[in-house]
Amino acid sequence: MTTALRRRAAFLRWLRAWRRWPEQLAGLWLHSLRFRTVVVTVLCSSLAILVACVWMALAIQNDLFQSRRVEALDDAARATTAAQETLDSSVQSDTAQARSVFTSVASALNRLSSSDRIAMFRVDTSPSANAPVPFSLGGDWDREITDELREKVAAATDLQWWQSIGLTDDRGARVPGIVVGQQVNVPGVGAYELYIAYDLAAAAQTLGFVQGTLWFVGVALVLIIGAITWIVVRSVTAPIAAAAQTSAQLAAGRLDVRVDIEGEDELATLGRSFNAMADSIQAQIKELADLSLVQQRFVSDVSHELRTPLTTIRLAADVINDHRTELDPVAGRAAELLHAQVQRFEVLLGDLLEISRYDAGSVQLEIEPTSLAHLAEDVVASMRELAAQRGSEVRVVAPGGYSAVDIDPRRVRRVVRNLLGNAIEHGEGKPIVVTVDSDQDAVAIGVRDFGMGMRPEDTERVFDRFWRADPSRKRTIGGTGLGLAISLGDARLHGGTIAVWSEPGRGSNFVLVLPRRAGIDPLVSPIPVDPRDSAIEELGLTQPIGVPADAGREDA
Amino acid sequence: MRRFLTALAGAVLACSLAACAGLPTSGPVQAGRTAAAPEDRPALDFRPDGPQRGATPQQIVNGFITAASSPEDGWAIAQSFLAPAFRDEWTPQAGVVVDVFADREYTVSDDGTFITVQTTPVATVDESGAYAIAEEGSTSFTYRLEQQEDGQWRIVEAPSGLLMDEDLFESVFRDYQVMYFDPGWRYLVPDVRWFPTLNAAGRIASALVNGQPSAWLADAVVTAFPEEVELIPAVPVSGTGVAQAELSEQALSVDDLTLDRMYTQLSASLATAGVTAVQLLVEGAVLDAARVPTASTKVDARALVGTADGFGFLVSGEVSPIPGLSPVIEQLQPVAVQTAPDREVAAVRLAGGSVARAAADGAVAVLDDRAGLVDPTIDPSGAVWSVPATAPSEVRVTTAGGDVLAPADAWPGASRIEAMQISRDGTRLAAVLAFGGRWVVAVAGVARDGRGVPVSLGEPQVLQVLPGEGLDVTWLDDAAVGAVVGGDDPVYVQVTVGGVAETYAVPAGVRSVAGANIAGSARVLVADGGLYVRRSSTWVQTAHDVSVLATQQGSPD
Repeated sequence: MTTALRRRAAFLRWLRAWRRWPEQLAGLWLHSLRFRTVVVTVLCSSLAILVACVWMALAIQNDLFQSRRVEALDDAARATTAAQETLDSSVQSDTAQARSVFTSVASALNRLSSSDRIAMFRVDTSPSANAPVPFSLGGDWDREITDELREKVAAATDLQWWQSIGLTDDRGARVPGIVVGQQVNVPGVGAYELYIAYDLAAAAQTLGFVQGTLWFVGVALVLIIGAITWIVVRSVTAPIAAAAQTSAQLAAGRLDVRVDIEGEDELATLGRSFNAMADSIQAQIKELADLSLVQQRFVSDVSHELRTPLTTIRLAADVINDHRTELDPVAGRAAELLHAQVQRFEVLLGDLLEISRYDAGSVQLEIEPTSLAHLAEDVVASMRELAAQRGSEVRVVAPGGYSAVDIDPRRVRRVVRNLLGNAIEHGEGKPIVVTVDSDQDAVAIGVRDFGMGMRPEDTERVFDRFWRADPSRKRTIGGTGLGLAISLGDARLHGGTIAVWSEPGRGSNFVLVLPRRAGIDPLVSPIPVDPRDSAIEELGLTQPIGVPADAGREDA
Repeated sequence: MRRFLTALAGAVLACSLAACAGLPTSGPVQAGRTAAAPEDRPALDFRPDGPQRGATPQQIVNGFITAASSPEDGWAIAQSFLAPAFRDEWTPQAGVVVDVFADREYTVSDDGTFITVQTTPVATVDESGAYAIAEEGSTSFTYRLEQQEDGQWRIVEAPSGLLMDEDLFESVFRDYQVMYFDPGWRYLVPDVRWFPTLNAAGRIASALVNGQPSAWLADAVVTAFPEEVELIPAVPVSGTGVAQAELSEQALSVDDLTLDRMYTQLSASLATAGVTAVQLLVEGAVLDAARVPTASTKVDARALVGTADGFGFLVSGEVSPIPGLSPVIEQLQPVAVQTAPDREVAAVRLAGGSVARAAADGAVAVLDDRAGLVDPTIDPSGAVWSVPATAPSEVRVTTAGGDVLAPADAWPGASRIEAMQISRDGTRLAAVLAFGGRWVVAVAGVARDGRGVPVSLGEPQVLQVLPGEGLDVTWLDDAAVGAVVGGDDPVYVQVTVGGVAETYAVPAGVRSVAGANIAGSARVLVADGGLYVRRSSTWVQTAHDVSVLATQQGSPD
């Protein structure tokens, strides 16, 4: 499909989805300053122009009517005076002449007035043999004369009365008109009402033309104002939109973007300030980054530098330790202490180095497809003796996690060892359950102990470096205080996390959750972090059936 | 800088446009409308009062007669004066009696149930609208009234037709022309009828299609409408003047030429009612018809006179002769001249009293040398009509080929004839006659045979009684005749054939009159050679020393 066809198809689709127009408009209103400004301007100017045009139309209509009315009244007064003079000056010797004068008055009126609608009616309607017959000239328009007008004219002898009426023109359309009535006196016969009607069709046509012009001009003005506003606002919102886009880029991390500046006005000042701010932020962040880099490198260098003398010290301490039996008891004890602490120091140094690598960001994952269940079993098997020493039984429950997952096995093994070690340390001799489970998005290993637990607020601090919930408690297994921090770092390297649940007196549950592949968000643990196994606990089903240690001995 | 300049130009333009927004106070000289011809009487619609409560029988009859002025709804206001039982019997369209209002006298019977109105009628109009002046004398009309249940008097017997006084008649009724063809199908001959202005088009069309020519004209004209073709009486006229005439289906079977002639007659007739175009319909379908070409009866508007300078058209003192004919006429020095339409032939009365035909090729033939001949007249076929003044019935017609005819039934009962002129279409003969002691202007139809040879004259119609001895008569246009009366009070009478007459004063010593193209224009020649032309109601002298005023019967094509 060509571009034009595609555009047309898109346009038709938009047309058909007319139900969505209100929400589309609302969206446009919220998101576009230009649209909002133009709409507000167009609405306000439409209102103003509407008011102005209506007022103008009314004023013109009023003036047209007034001027035509004055014209009509003057014309009628002139014609009536002339008619009265004709009637007065004619010789009324006999009644036949009165009737013939009437028709000549009718033609005189027709010529004198600018209207060809004239009617004369008798005021006194009692039967009279001689009275000229009332007539109407110019059609049936005299049927429109209202009774109120006739009453007024019949009552007043030298006053004009006028009223607006509707007349019909040649084509049968209804046009506005004014009828003017006045009394004339036919000598020897009596008073007659003379009505002359003037049609205002020309004035009405002018008015219609004016109104049409006003409408047209008004609409054109509104459109032009809209267009002008659009153009003007565009010159303001374009720089603002550019600045907004640049800020977004800056916020997203590109610290080197700057705003283009043109001219000297407020927008240029805004741009200049923005650029200065960006420069400042960029410089500070660079400084901080440099500092941090320096610091990390220092730690790394220090750790490395410490290694060398430490190795020598350890060798020496080993030698001394090997010969401790040859020393006196105090020195021998000192040699043992020295050996143990040097070992510990080495481990601590190793952990520090590891942590510093995380900080410097220079850690490499060595991914291998591994079965987590097997990995967990291996780790548990390797630590079974230690657990047994502390009296904790370790159980592996693996409903899933048998399929191979791409992980770094060395690191994950370390994490599991760390978690298991902590569980054994804090387990208080109660059983430890290691759960392995998976779903289509993630795999998880949970290490649950039923020991002393910790307060829920401490669960957040537990991953801090060198943090102890109970500082008075001694480390027995030999942790460095950095184990959980390293474990969390390893988990995060895989894109996963370690979730914690704990309750004082009921134990803790640490769940390592690893995604199967990158980009899984949100990461949901297949193993619930909150174990909710109170019932089971109460029933004590997970408690091993304890064979009393002295049971066999009793027999024996 | 450029932007500033364009802005400045725009401001200047706006200011100049604003200055043009006013109305002009000066400008070039420009032509307006041509001067309007004086209008006819305005078309008045009368609104007579209906019967009043408690009116006496005389007031009822008076109101009834006055109510004849409103023809709306079949004279509805007049009908309201009648008892309900009589309303269907009274026939207002039976005719009109036109009388003099001042001469009416009412006589009431003792019990008040009979009212007699005695009056002097001036003219009558019959059912078909034909106007005729009434005989001398008075007539009376009797109305019988009865008191109805509510105590009001209503008429239960009245003569058919209407009674109207002259002024009211001329305002309510108008003269229209129903057009017929002359026997040679060349000229349109008007037959004047009087109808109320309300729905005049329908009445005219109905009179033409369904009716007959007036009795006196019947033998002189022909009509293209066959007997069997009828008209639906309603002829609506649109606001722009387009009339639609619905004919019966027999109109489909006429040939094209007849249809065109029918169309010509109808559109010419309705033109007098202000209709600009006519559509012939048969059952809703428009028939395709066009006007046939008709000969024009227009004459040259200039005066055709014989002066000392010669014979020809007179314009501001200059005589422009007619080529060929003028020298012949000048040589003859005639007393009266009438030129034929082609201006090749003229009928002249020589100084010795004989009537001759003068041709442009110089041939002069004496046709009639009886004693006391009146001025001859020549018809469109070139035949010369002559008659002696003392024997009106002995009319002699000498055709162009030289045949001598004597039409029958010429002016029966007339004792003298003073002047005679045949109409320009050759169908009617107007004359100034004496019947007993009265001088009248009369017109008679000319009946011709199949070859166009006149065989007899129809019944003479008296158009107007003249106040004295008539001297000359002329046709003013196709439907009006002008006559002059001499004596101490010379008058000029303009009378429509089938219509009303108007009398005007005329300069003393008048001896002959000649018409032009419209009824309002005429020229008279007085004894001392002065030539006067009529301007509305006065006469203006335009020439001196004119020896003969000639009449024209037409113009060359």
